[in-house]
Amino acid sequence: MCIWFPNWPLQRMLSKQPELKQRPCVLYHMSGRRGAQVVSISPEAYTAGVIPGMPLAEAKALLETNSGRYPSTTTAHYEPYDPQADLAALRELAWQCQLFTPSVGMEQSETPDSLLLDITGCAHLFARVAGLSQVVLNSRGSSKPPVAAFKERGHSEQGPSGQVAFNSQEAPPGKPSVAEWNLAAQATLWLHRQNCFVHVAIANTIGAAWAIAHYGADTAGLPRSFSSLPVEALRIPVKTIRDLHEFDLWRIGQLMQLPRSSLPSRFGSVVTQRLDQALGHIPEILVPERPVEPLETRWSFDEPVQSRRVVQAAIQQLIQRLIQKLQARHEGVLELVLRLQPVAEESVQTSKPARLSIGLVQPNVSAAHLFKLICLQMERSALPQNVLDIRVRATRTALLSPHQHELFNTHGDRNRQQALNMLLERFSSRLGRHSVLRPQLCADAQPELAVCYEPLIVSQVAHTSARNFVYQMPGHRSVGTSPALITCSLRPVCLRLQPIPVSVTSVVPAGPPVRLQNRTIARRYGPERIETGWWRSQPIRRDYYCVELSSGHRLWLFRNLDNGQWFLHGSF
Amino acid sequence: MAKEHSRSKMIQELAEQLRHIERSQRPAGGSLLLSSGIRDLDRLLPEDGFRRGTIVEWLADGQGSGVATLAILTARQAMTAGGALVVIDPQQQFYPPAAAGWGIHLDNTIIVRTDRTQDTLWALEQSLRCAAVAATWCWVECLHSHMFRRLQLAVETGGGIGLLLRPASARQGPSWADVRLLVQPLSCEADSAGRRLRIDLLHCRGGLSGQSLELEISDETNDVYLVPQLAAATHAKQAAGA
Repeated sequence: MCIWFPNWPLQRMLSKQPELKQRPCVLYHMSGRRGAQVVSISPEAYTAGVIPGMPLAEAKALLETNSGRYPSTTTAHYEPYDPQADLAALRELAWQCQLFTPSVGMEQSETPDSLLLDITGCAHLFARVAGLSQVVLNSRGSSKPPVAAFKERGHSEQGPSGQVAFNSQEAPPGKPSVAEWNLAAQATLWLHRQNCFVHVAIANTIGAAWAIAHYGADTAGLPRSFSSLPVEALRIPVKTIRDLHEFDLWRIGQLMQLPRSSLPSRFGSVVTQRLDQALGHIPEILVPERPVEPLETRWSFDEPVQSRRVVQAAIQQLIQRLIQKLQARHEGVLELVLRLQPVAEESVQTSKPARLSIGLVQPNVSAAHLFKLICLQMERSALPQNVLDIRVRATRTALLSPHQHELFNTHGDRNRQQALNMLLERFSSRLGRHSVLRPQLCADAQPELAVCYEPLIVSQVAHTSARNFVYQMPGHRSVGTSPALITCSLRPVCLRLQPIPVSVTSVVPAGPPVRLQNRTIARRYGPERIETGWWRSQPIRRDYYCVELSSGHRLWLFRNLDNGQWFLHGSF
Repeated sequence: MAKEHSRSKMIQELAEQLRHIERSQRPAGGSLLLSSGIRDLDRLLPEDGFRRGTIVEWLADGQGSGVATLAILTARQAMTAGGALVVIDPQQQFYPPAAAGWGIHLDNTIIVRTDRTQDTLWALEQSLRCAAVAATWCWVECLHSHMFRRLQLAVETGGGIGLLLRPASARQGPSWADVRLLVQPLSCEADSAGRRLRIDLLHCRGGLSGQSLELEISDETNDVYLVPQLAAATHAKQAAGA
C-alpha cells in the first residue's frame, strides 16, 4: 500500500497551524544567486497566479494585488521551506502507521512524500468496516484491474478524501479483498484525523502502488488502469521523461509495446528496471523505518522500598548501566529523566509517579556527575514513599566531541569551560532551568522590557539545539547587532521588579519632585519621557527623574502621565 | 618626633615582612592582584588592589547609596582577564542594561535567581568555588560566621573574587572578608557635576584600616576620581607667629 501526501511540505505546515487554512500560503527557499524562490503553494495562492519556481518578490506582488479577494483579516502567509522538518515529520508518521502493519517505509527520494506499507497478512485484522459511509466500486471489466474509490462521510470533493486503487493485473486471479480496502479506508480516516490529505493505492508491487497513488485518477477523479498511467508514474529521472516525450511516448502502455531490448540503449537501464519493478518481474526491497529505541534502564523491586539510600543506590546502578550503553555509541547525555513509580494505592496523589529531569550543557558520560545532579533535584522534590519501580531514560543524547589529551595544558580554556558547564548544570538541577539565565539586551524603550532573559539550559521541547554558554577569553566577542548601549548614568544598577508607589510633593501639579516621603530632594535630573506605542496591549507614558536626596542617595522615580501617580522604580 | 618616626617605620617593615610571608604561601603563577576599578581606592590597599581568591565586603545603608555601582567597577576589572560574572540575584533587582553601560560584557554574565536563603548561600558557595568564575556578585542580608568561613574557603579554592553587598548593620557582626568597605553617599553642591561617595576602609588584611577617601563619579564622563581636599587654613598660625 502506498500512501501519498500531496504537497507534503504545505500539509505539514497546515497540520501544525490549522488557522492558516483558507489563507494563501507560500513556502520559499533561498537558492543562491536567484534569491528567494517559491517551493510550494496553497490552492488560494495558486488562484492568485503564484506558481512554484516563481521569485518570492513576484509572488508577494501577485498576492497583494489579489488581496481584495480575501477578507481583510486574512493575509498571505510566508514561511521558509524546511526539508529536514518535513522528513522528520514523515518519519514520525511512518512510525505511527505501524498500527496498520509492522513494515512501514518511506519512498527512496530526496524529498519523500509517500509512505510504503507492506500489508501482507495484515488485511484480515481490518475486515470489519468502521466509519465508512460510501464505497463506490468502479470495475472496468474482467480484463482490466478493478479499482475502488471512496469518499468520507460529509466531505466534498475538495475536502479530505482518499482514493484507493487496486491493481490486480498481475495478481493471482480473484477479486480484491474487502479487508484490504477496509484497511486502506481506515488508514485514510486515521490520517484525516491527523489533518492529512492522502491518496492511497494498493498493488502487488511498490512501483505499481506508487504509480497508482500518484497518477491513478484522471481529471474527473475516476481511477485509471496501470497501462494508461503516464510515464512519470515509473519514478524515472526528469531527463529520461523528457527523452520519452520527444519520442512521443506518454503512457506506460506505449512503453510496454516497444521491443524491450531497445529501451536501455535509448533511455537507459532505469526505464526497464522501474518497469520490471512495477510489474513484479524483479523484487524491490522495502526498507522499514524503525523508531529509535529509547535509551532506558529499569529497576523493579520485589517489595516497595521506603529507604532513600536504597533508592539512590539503585539509581546509581541504573545510571552506570545507561552510561555503558551510551559509551558503546560514543554518545553522551544531554537530558536525563528519572521516574519513580510508587505502589498503586487508593489515593491518586500518592500513587502518582515522581518525575525528575536534568539538563546538561554538553554531552556528558560521567556517572558520578549525573548522579550528583539527580541527588540535587531529589533534595528539593517530594518523592513517593513506597517506590516499586525506577526508570532512568536518556531523552536527549549527542555525540561526544573527541579531543586529544595535551601534555602541556598551557591555556586551560577547555578545563575552565568544563568547570563552568558543570557549575551551570548544578545550578539548573537544584534551582530549576528557569533560574539560571543569560541576559540579552532588547531594543525597547520600556525599561522593564529592555532586557530579556533566556535559560542557559533549554528543554528539548522548546528548542532543538542546546544554548551553550561559551567561556570567552578577552578579545573574543561575538559579532552581531545589538541594541545601542545607553549611558550608564541614565539607568540604575538596581531596578525593581515592580515599581512601588511613593508619595512625592511637587511645587506645581505636573512639576518636578521636591520632596519624597518627607525627605528633601537636593537635586534632580529630568524629566526623561518614555512612551511606548499605542498599539501595545499595555502602553506606558512616564516621566522619569533621577533624584538625589539631601543624604546623597540617588533614586529613579517616574510619574505615570495617565494618572499622575509617582513610583519608585530603581536606585543607583 | 624621631621616636614616632621610627615606630611607624618599624610597623611598615613588619607589614612588609608579613606580606612576604603571605606571598610565599600563595600558589605561583597567574596574576593574583586585581584592581578595584578605582585608582584612588587601590592606593589604600596594601598591594594596590584586591587579591584574587578573597571576599570583598561592601557595606552600605539604604537604597541608592552607590555601592552597587562601585562593586560593578570591580567586577568589570575582574572580567578583563577572562572568566564569567555570576550575579546571584534573589530579589531580581540586578539591571543588566545599566551594567552593560558600565562595561560589563553580558555574554559572560550569568544571572542566578533563588527563592530561599539557603539556595542563595548554596549558589554563592558553588560559584565562589568554581575556577571559571572571575567574580561573584551577591546581595546578602544575613550571614552567619560559619557560613562566611565556608565562603572564604570556597573562594580560596576557586581563585575568583567574591563581591558581597551587605547592609551597614552587618558591620557589627564577624567577617571573614579580606577587605571591608563602608560606602556612604554624600550630599553635593547644587552645581556639582557628579555624585560623591565616601569609602571607609573598615578592615584590610595586611593593611592599615581606618583610612577613608571621598570619591566623585562624574555624571558626564562616568569617571571616578578623588575629591580634592583643601589645605588647612593658615590664619591661626600666622596669628600665633605674628
